Amino acid sequence: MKQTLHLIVTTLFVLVCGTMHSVAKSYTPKTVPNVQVADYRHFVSNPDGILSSEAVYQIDTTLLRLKEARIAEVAVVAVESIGFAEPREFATELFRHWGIGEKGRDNGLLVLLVVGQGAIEIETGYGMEGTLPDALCKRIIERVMIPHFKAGDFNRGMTEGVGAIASILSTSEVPEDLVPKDDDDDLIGLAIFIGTGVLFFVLIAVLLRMYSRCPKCKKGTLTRTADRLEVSKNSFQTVYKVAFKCNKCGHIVWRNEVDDHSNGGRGGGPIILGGGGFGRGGGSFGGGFGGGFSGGGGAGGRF
Amino acid sequence: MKKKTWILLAALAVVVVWGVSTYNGLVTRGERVDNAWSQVENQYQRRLDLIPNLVNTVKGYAAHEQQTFEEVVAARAKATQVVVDAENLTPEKLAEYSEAQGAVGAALGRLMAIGEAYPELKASNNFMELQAQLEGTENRIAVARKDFNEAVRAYNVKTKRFPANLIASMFGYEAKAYFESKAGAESAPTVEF
Repeated sequence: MKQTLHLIVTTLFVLVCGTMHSVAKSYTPKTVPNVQVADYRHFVSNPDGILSSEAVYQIDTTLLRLKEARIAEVAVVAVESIGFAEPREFATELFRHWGIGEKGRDNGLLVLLVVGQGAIEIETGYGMEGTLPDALCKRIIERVMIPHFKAGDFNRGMTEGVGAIASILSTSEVPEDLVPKDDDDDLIGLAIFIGTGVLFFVLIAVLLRMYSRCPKCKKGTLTRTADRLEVSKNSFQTVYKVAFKCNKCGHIVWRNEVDDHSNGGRGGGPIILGGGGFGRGGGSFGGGFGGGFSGGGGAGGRF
Repeated sequence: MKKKTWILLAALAVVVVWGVSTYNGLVTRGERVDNAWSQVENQYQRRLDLIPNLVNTVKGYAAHEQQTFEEVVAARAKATQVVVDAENLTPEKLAEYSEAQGAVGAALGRLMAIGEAYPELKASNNFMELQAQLEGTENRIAVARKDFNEAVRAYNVKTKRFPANLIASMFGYEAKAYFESKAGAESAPTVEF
């Protein structure tokens, strides 16, 4: 009896898992992964693997150039499903949620591909509506992207579409007061950061050594002995004198130590450094969009 | 002075500070509503500005659809006459505005539908671009209206909630009307290929 029940439950479980696998996850503006925040070099959110990694890399390189030249902040999202939501509305919501584009300049752009609905949308920020008016967006969609999408070649459609957008944006004038960031600037900044970190560690190491080095012979290490004398005692704490002995010359140093009557672990010891900026994998630093705004401009197409 | 007097004065000061901040909050939200309204008007105006170009383009290919042209031009003229002051966002005025724009939308729909019947027109670059612009404008109108209603909601909530509603009624801040869409005005003139 128990075995049959077990069998039934297992079968049901496997069936459910199997069916669930074939249903694509439908995204909301809040659940689309914001790859730019995780890594400043990534602009393509491709959670369902619709685009190949080469295509993603190509597009990321193009968009990084655009962002660093302060021409535009472009985000690309390719998903299977957004549920029953309208792609146009979804694009506006997602654009605003991520705040694509530099605040004030509003030079943001979102390219949204929803394969399940056969929809492609380009959403322009307020500041982009001059360089990329709706008609132009429509042209890019219809002439460059949709022919490839119809043939099922999302990689080509997307890379060529982004390429067209990039060339249009690049040829429009870049304001004189904005100079493209030099690659060297990045390296210098990184070097300074690493240098400071190294210095910090060296300092800690030096201090530690000073603490445990024999003052007399300067060669040996002071080790703690079992000798301990009580110096004073009150209701809060007890002060002891502890003997440290050099392992080379035998010199003894007395040091005061305070025990605060709490059981379990003294404080002290070396300072533990926090995770800091190095925590994230690969040593890349996070980015993020600038907080730009969209008024609902742009164009869309269906395939 | 006695301790009691000090306490009373302190309490009064707190009330006054709260009152001032609530009042300012009402003012800010009210301004946001006005701002959002001007955006709505902007986008509707943008649509009206597209019409002369559209009519001319369609005329180039379908000259004898005279009735549709006249309807669109008439609807546009009527819509430009309905002006809603930001100070004057009463439900009646808003309904009037909505109706006028709805008529424009309907007439535009018929105009764009002509494109379906004339393949040369449909394929013409000019027409396609104007179509894209019209679609974009309709989207912007939708977004602007949504933002406006959201601003009105934030404002209304403040005027109705206790204890802020005391300040609101004291200074004559009443709830504002939402921009409702008339039945039928929602059918945006989009043409699919």
